Amino acid sequence: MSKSATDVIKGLRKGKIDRTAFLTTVYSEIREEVKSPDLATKTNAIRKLFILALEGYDMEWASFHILEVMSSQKFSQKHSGLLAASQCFKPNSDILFLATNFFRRELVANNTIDTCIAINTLACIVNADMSKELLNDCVTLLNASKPILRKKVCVLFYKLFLQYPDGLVICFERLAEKLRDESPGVVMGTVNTIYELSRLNPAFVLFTAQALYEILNTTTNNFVLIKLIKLFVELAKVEPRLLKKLSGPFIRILTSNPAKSVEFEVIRAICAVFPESEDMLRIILQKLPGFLDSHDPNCKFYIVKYLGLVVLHKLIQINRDYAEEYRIFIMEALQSKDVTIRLRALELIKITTTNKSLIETIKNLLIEVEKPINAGIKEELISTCLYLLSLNQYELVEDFKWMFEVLLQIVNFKTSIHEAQLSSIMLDVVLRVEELREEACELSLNALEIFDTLKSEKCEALTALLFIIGEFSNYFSEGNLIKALSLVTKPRWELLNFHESVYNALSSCVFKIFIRAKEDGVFKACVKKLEENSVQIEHMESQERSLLYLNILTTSDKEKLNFVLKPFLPIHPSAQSLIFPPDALQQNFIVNDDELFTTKSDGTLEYHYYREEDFGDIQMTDQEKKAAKLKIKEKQMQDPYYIKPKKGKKKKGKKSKKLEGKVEEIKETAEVVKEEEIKKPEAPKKYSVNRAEPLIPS
Amino acid sequence: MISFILMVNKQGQTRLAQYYNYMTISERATLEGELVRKCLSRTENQCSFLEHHQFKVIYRRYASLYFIVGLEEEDVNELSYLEFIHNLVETLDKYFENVCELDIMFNIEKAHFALDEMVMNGSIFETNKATILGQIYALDKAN
Repeated sequence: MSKSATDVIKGLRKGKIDRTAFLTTVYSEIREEVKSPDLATKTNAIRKLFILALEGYDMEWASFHILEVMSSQKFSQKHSGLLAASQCFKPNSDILFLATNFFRRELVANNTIDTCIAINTLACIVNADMSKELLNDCVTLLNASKPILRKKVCVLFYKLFLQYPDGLVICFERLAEKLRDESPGVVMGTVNTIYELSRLNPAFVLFTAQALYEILNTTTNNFVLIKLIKLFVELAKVEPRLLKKLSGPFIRILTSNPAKSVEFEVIRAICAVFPESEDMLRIILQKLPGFLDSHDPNCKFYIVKYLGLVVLHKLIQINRDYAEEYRIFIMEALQSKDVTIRLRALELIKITTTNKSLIETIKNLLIEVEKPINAGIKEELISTCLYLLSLNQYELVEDFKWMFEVLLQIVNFKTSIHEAQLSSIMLDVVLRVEELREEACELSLNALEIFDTLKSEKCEALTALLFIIGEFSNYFSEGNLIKALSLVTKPRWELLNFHESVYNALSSCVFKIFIRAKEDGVFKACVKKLEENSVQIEHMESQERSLLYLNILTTSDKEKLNFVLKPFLPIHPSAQSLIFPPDALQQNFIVNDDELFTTKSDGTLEYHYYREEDFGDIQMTDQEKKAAKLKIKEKQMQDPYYIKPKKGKKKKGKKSKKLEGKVEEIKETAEVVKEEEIKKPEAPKKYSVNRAEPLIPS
Repeated sequence: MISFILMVNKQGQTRLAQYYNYMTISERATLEGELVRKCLSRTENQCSFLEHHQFKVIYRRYASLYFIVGLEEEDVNELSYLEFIHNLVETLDKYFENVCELDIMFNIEKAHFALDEMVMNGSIFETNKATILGQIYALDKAN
């Protein structure tokens, strides 16, 4: 006796069985059953297969059988077949060709319920060819007597248009007529389709604005209202005159509609469309506490708070004054138990921080980073810190010494993705801010004392610190200089196997320190260190550098090396214009003294090599010019290194065959990578569930 | 436009899955597993909105079943989708009379049909319970 679908479900529910074994047995049974000529057996098999699909089994091999079941005269069999089809027919599979006729029959059938389930499936699987074939039948259905059918076909049209855009032009007007249909369901369906179309091409649906406006003012259905508000935002982007007409209804909806979802939508629309309007903003501000402090039992507190933060974000983008009032609120939100709210609060912090509040904000952010609860968003927190510090070239920072200390603190958090940005900010700020250099050197020196803990993949932070103490060593006092020297000459550096750039920075640091100090004792220590480096470090480049510096130190006159002490300075972007080009760079340099190419009357290009104007000041007769041109032309023809432009029409879009081959390669490897990455997810914790418990408690 | 609607129980077993953008079987299985894990790790007092890869996810737990709606848009009105989920559950409740997970398991075709009456192409086009129920009764008669 073959199992029915219900038996399969019951079998899966039995406690002590091995699920996988059971499922495999059922699967092999299905493979046999589905080939049977009897439709009832086949349908049974398809139903069981559908349940297995929920467990992750593939249904696609049975496509043809599903098609047979679909075409059955019996309703229940047809229903099962269509349901299976909607789940498993792939968008571009060949089976769809065969199905087209079937759907055409169903669409014109007299039986409402049959057409309904056909449309349900069609919406999931229709492709471009089917769309083209079935379009006319769908248009006929627009005038069906049953509102159910009209409604469904209106929504179906969106998918048809997506697949077959040419159909849009033919049918859209017929569809738009349905906006004035007597049945509210049909209207809702049409509004949905028009909304989705407006997101693609608002100008196209603009002529329906009048009808839509009437619906906006009369409908009581909140879902329709939300869709319409979104629609009008899209339309207002292309037709600014709509704005005048919209302000009335928006204010009315905002003040009268009790549903929070509608309020939210209107507020969002106003922020998008009326950013300058004073009265609108005033009303929104009245509503805002309703969102932020709500204890409304219908909407849970945190849900509404999330939405309040979204709205606040939009408002502040419009007008920064609001930032002040809500600062404390944002800080509280940052400490909320809900991670989604914390992320939203971070976004708000990015746009509301001013130079007065910066120190406090960063302090709070750094405290948050250390909390274990924030382990998931540690990176976002640090990104926000760095963003604020470097915003607009450090516009918000007033005390750079404090800023440098903060940067060193962040280094200790050891997030590798921020290291590059961090080190570049450190270097940038020390270079630009002269007063900072002395303190920065001292702070860097202290930070470097624990240099073994600063090791990371690319050691950018370490490299930056070494650069700072080397380059600006002239700010060191004597005592600090000795300290710095002893630090960089420690043998521990070689043992720890840092990244190559660290050893490069180390050698130049040693070199610069010596130049600064110029004492014999220091000299001996530096030489010794460089000798060691040149032998012990693995990286060839670092060895080379150490040898190079060693050479310079031991052979050259130390007085001449004073140029090393000159500090790096940033260059202003307009500095280039202050430098005059040298005489050698002539203004009237003849490169090519003719038109490069001219366009002939039939559209092709004719290439020349010379330009008239470049003969310029030189007085020549036409004859002489011609002779000169010919001479240069001959010379170029014989020059093997002269690149001649190809003659003839340029064909656009011609890829080289080599490139095409490479693209294929990349596509293949990308798929391979994807497959490897999809691992089975771990099973969630075992919970005891009571499946018979009613979903809505009475 | 909704990308998918799922009903997944606390043990990670999918009871109903409707996808409005084609995804392969393995992608679906991964997605469902990851989402249910994320939902399970959240408490009652946290908000019902998540972000998962490029999807915005709205979920609600009814007894042992998580109803999950995922969208791929910007500017989503999350509260309206919460209301939609509740509408769906109330409709099923009226039809099955005190619906529970078992009802959905044993009547998967009817549950799918009810959902198809409310959402097509990822758009919610019918919210009137009476209309939807009328359709389901008509389905029963035809069977």
